[in-house]
Amino acid sequence: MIKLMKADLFRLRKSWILMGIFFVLLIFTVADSLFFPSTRSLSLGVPTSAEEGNWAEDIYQVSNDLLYYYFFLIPVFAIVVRDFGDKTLKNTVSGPVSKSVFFLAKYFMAIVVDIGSYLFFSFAYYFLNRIMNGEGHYSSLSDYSGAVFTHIPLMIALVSAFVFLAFLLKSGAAFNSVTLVWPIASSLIISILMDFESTYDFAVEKLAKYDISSMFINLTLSQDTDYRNICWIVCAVVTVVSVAGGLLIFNKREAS
Amino acid sequence: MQEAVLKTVNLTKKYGKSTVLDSVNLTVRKGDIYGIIGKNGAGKTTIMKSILGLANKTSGEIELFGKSENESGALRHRIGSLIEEPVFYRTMTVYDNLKYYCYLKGISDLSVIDRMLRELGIEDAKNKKYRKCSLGMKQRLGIALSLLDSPDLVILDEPINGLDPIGISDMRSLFKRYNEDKEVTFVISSHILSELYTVSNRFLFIDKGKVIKEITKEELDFNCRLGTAFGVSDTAAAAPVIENAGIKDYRIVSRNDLYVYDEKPDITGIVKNLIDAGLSIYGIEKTGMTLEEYFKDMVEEDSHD
Repeated sequence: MIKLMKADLFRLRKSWILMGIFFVLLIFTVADSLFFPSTRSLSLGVPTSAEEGNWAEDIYQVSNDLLYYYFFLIPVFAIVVRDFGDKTLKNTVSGPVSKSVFFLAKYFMAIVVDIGSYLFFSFAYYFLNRIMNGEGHYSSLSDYSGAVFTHIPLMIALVSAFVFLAFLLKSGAAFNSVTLVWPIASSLIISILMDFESTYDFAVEKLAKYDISSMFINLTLSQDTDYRNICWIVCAVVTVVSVAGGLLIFNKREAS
Repeated sequence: MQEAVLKTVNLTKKYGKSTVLDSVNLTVRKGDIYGIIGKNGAGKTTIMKSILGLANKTSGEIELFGKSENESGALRHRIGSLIEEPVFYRTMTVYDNLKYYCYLKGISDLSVIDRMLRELGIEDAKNKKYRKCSLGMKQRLGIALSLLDSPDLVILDEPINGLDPIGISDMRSLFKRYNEDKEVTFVISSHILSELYTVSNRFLFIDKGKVIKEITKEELDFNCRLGTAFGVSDTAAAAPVIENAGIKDYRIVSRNDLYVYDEKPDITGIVKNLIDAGLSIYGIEKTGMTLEEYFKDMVEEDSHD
């Protein structure tokens, strides 16, 4: 597995365009937050009523992490979907690497690149913000770290779901169509359900609160421990189902 | 007899109601260059994919290096392969593609890349992006990958596709060299019989997913060789007559058919001797055929059965 991850790291370095776009987008996002600090966020989510606290700008920036949803697609595309697109998968699984090892190596690689980048850029922003914008614009390191790490289960669930979809859909076009549209489509469905009296409670209580966009906002800002715990359980379930389902489907499917 | 490096027992593959492989039994021994011959869609590629785990077999057993399937998974690293068309990362160079697979296979001595490119005659394309390579270059790169980590068994599906006549000749020499010098066992499929004939020592004829015949090169030569067929009333009685005529190279094919492989047999003399011995002669004709004719005959016989 380590050999495949090492080989993929080499490949990502050589096919630098996609990963270059990924890092440039992250740099722009951090730069935007530094130069134009704001407590407002671009998000589709619904803040919970339990949203409390008077947070500094950096914590609001963490709650604005929905952008990572889109950024995370790029490494998954480069690491997994390329192997299906270029059909190079058969070179690997017909030789030294079993299907299970192939899936797990790709999964861990995606986790390392995505979560590693998230942590690196989050803390790069924190320290740069402290230096550039100074007093009144930043939280304590422990508060900020808490906010960032609160999002980690959600980030892992997201990457797991993306990897699962990549192995399920196999084609780049199908993968992009489903993943790019999902947050908008789910928010739209929730809005429609809210318009009807019979589905209003379900839409507000269950779907809206635990929609990806809402979790991005509320995991950081909400003080409701029960809500956070449920969110983490949802994330754990999504992660386990994605990994187990992906492994099962990939092992059963023909690799060519 | 050499040990079997690959064996399939009743290998069957179905897609829905269609049977693509029907109880295929084959044995590849160490040192073989084993040719799988069949028309397009006969099941050659499916056999190879099943062996390599790229297609899920419906039933049957596959043994690799004397180990059953459950134990042989870890032995796949001893196999190199090229199935259907070669595939590599399109935006990476020829060299970087092979470097990627060196990392993947745990090869630390990267000089093997230059050696392989040289052996395959594509060292000039080293820094060329894969997507810009010609079909022949891609094919050679695919073969280079299959030989990269000195495998014990190499499975090649139509490896000469896209190669020019010189390329075909080069590859033929390369396979023979690896087979003789490095004891690499090859399984090569093709629908071009003459090409396989020049390199293989054993053959598997397959049609519509069924094995028609597994045969050695000597047997194939024997079955295809030119001669004269005598239809006689009793071949057992005819044999001493033929021998008395000084003919040593003959074969009794059935109770009434006897083949004489003498280059220029004295047909008049043989006929006279057979009649003098009280035998009836039903017919005399030339025998022997090209590989294509032999294959065609087998397929037709099999379909009549």
